[in-house]
Amino acid sequence: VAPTLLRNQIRRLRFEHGEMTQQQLAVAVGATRQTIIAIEAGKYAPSLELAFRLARVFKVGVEDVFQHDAPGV
Amino acid sequence: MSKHERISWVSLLVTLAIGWWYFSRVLGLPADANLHFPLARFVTQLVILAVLISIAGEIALRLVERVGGQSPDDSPADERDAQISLKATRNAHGVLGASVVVVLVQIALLERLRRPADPPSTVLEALGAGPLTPLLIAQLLLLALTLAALTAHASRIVYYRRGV
Repeated sequence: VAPTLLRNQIRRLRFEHGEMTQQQLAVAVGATRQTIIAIEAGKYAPSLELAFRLARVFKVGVEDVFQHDAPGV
Repeated sequence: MSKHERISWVSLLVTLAIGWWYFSRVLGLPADANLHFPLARFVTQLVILAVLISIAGEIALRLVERVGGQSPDDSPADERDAQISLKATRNAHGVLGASVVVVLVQIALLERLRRPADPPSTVLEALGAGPLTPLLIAQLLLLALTLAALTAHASRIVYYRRGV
């Protein structure tokens, strides 16, 4: 399985928001802790909807949470 | 380990164990053995047994996690679980389709290459040399379904471990 080309700042944002745990973030966005772990590790690219929910929890834009690494795109 | 990955492990092990037990038993029978036991009832009983063993295995795994100091994850399925399930089902459909094609080709080949003067001694030999009775074809299709189920469970575990 190819790793996703999405980079993310979730780990940093969690710590900047009162050291939020993965479980707390999972509950806030309606996902499982395993999904948060997989996203942070770059093993899963979330849907647009989940990406927006994550951004909303951190009160930032989606592009502040996720960056795309594909060259030439 | 998530609830869904745990269930996949239990299902994989139970399907492997019951499938191995059933097919090693049937394939080793003499070719002229009376296979006309009530197959549908027997398979239904096996499926119910598999479900009961799965539930017991799931409870046992939860107990092991609790004893080990971990709190079992009981979160409801989310989009990643759904995506993993879809991909695993796609893989299982591929295996099922390929298996059915193999069975159909085997039926056609054995019809042409039938050797009536050299009767097979076991069910396994009958599957390789014919004649294929409707009951033997049913066993082959049951094997195809079992392989598809194993593929689905194994795929889920791989996707949970390696990413999707």
